[in-house]
Amino acid sequence: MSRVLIVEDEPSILKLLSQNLALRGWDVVVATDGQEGLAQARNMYPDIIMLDLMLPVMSGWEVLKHLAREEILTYVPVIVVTAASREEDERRARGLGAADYLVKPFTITEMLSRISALVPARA
Amino acid sequence: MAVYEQRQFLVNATDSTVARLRLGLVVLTGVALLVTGSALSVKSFPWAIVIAAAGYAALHHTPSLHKYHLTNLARRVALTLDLACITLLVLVTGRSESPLVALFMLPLAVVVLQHGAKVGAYYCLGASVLYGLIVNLGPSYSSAWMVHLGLLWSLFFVLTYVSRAGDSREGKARRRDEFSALQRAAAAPMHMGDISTVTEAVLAGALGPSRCCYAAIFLYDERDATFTTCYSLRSDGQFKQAPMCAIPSDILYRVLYSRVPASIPDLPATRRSRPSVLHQAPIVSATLMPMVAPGARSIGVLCLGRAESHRATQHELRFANTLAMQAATAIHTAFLFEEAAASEAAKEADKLRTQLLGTVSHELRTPITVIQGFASSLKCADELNISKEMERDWIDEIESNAERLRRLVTDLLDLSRLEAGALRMIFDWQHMDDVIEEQRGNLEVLAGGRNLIFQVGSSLPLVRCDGERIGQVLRNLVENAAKFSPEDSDLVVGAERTRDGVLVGVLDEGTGIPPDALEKVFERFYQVEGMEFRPQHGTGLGLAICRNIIEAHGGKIWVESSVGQGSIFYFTLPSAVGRSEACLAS
Repeated sequence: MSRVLIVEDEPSILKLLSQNLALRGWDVVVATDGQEGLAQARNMYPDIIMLDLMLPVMSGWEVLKHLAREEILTYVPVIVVTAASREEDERRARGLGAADYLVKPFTITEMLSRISALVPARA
Repeated sequence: MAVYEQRQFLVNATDSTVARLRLGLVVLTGVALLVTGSALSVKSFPWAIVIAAAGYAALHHTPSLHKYHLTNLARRVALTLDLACITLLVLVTGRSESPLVALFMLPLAVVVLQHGAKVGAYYCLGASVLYGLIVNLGPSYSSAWMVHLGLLWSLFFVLTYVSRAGDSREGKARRRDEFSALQRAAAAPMHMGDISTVTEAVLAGALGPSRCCYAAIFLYDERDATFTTCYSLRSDGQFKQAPMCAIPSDILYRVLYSRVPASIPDLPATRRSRPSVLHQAPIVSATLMPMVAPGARSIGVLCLGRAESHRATQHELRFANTLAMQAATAIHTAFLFEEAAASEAAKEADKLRTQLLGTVSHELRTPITVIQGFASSLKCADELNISKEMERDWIDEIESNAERLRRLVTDLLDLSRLEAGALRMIFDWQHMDDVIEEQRGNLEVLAGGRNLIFQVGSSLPLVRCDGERIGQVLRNLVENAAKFSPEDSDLVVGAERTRDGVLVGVLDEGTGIPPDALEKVFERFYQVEGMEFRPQHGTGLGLAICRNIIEAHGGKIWVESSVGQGSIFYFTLPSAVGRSEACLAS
C-alpha cells in the first residue's frame, strides 16, 4: 500500500484530501503544521507528500528547504497544494525542489492525475 | 568651495604684501629722516620719535602678527596710532615755519574723518605735488624740503594702505556672506524638503551679500517648455510664490536657452528686454543667470535686481553664477526628493494592495476548493462505495463552506464600504441595555453552550447609535470569545455608565492574546501566531469591522488580555449627556 503524507492546516481540505485518497487505497498520514509534517516525513518516508505553503509553526517553504537539505526530496516527491497562485511562487517552489504545484481550487481528478504522474507504479 | 579658498588666499596675500610694503616704507622714511636729519643736525628729540615710529611700525606689521593676532579693533587702533605718529613727526621736523603744517595738518584730519583714508591719500598726493611746486618755485627755499616730501609720500602710502585694508576687510565680510549664501543654497535641500522652502532659503542667501533689493527664481518646466512659477523675495523679507506666464520672446527664455547670463543695467531704457515679466518687479537693473542642474536639465532663471541702475561687476556675475548653479542643484534635489517620496508612497500602497489581494484570494480559494472537491467526490460516490454517513458529512462540509464563503463576501463588502465611508449608519437614540437585551438570543446561540453571563448596569445613558451595527459588534465579539475559549467556560457581557458615555466589555477565559498582537488583532486577516487551533469559520475580518463600526460612532475599541488567562474586549460609545457635560466642563 502506498503511503501519502498530507500536511495541511485547513481541516476541511485535510478531510477532503485524506478521505478521497484513503478511499482509493492509500495509506494516509496527516500533519496539521509544518513542524509535525517535517517530523512525519523524516520518520516514515512516505511515497509522496502533499504540502500546503501557509502553515502554522513552520511554513511550507521552510519545510521544503529542510526536506531538500536532508535529501528526503531525492526519494520523495512533494506536491505543493496552495492558494498562492502567483507564477513567482510556483517558480520558487519548483526551485526549492517541489515536484509539482497544485493551485487551489482544484478538482479531485486533477489531483489524482498529478499524483499518479509522480507515483505511477503504486497508484 | 575651491573658488572661496582661492579668494581667501588672495585676500591674505594682498594684506600681507601691503603690510610688508608699508613696513618697508616706514623704515625707509625713518632712514631718510635719519640721513637728512644728521645732515641738517637736528636736535635729538625728533630722532627719538623717528626711531620709535619705525620700531612701532615694525613691531605691529610683521606679517605673522598681522595675520593671526590682530583683531579688527586692534588693527584700527594701530592705524590711528600710525597716523598720529607720522603727523607728530611732520610737526616736529617741519616745525612751525614749514608750509607743510598749514598745508595738511587740519585739512587732512577733516578729510580723513569725513571721507575716509582713500581721499586722505589723494589729498597727500595733491599736497606733495603742491609742496614740491612751492619749495622749488617759491622764494622761501628750505633745505628740509626732501624730508617733507618724503613724509608726505609715506603718508600717502600709509593712507592708501589704510583704505585698501579697509576695502579688503569689507571684501572679506562680503565674501563671508557670499560663501554662507552658497553654503545655505547647497545645504537647503538637506534640511528642508519642499521646493518652496528651499527656494526661500536660496533667495534669502542671495539678498544678503549681493546688496540687491530683489531676488527671484523663475522655475521652468522642461516638459511644457514654459516658465511656471515665480518665487521672489524682497529685501523687506516679503516672500512671494506666484504662477507666471512669460511670452516666448521674454528675455528669460533667451537666458535659459542660450545658457548665457545677462546683465541689464537699466531695465526701462533697454529695448531688447521689453516686454518682460521683469518689468512687473520693483527693480531697475537686473542680473539674470541660467540655472542648470546635473544632466543639463534646465531648472529656471535666477534674477538679482536693484532698485537703481547698476552694471554688474565681474565679481558680482561670478557670485551670481555660482549661486545659480548651487540653487539649481538644490532645487533639482528637492524635485527628486518629492518624486522619490511620491513613488515610495505609491509603491507602499501597491504592496499593501497586493498583500490584501493575496490574502483575500487565499481565503476565497480555500472554501471553493472544499466545495468543488466534495461535490466532485460525491459525483463518483457510487464507484468509491462510500457510506451514507460520509456522504452526509460531505454535504455538511459543502454547506458550511458555502456559508463561510457567503460570510467572507458579506464581510469583505461591509468592510470595504465601512472603510470607504459608504456604509450608512442609521443613528437613533437608544439605551445600551435595550441593545444588549435585543441581542441576548443571538448571543446565547453564538456562545455555543458556554456559560454566558450578562452584567448590565441599571442606569445606562442614552447613546446615539445604530442598534443593528452595535449588535453586529456584540455578536462578533461574543463569537470570537466563544471560538477561543474552552467549552463550559464563562463568557461575560457587561456594560456600565462612564463619565462621558457607556463602556461595554466582553470577557472570556480563553487562550488570550500575546501583548505584541493586542493592536494587530483589529487588522484585516490577522491571525495570532502559534494559536493552538485555527478557527474554521472565522473570516479574519470580524474585528476589523467592529473597529470601523465603533469608530464611526465616535467610540473606541481595545482589548486587554494575558496569555492563558483570557481576554476582555472593550468598546465605548459617547453619550449625548456625557458630551454636553464635557462641553460644559471645557
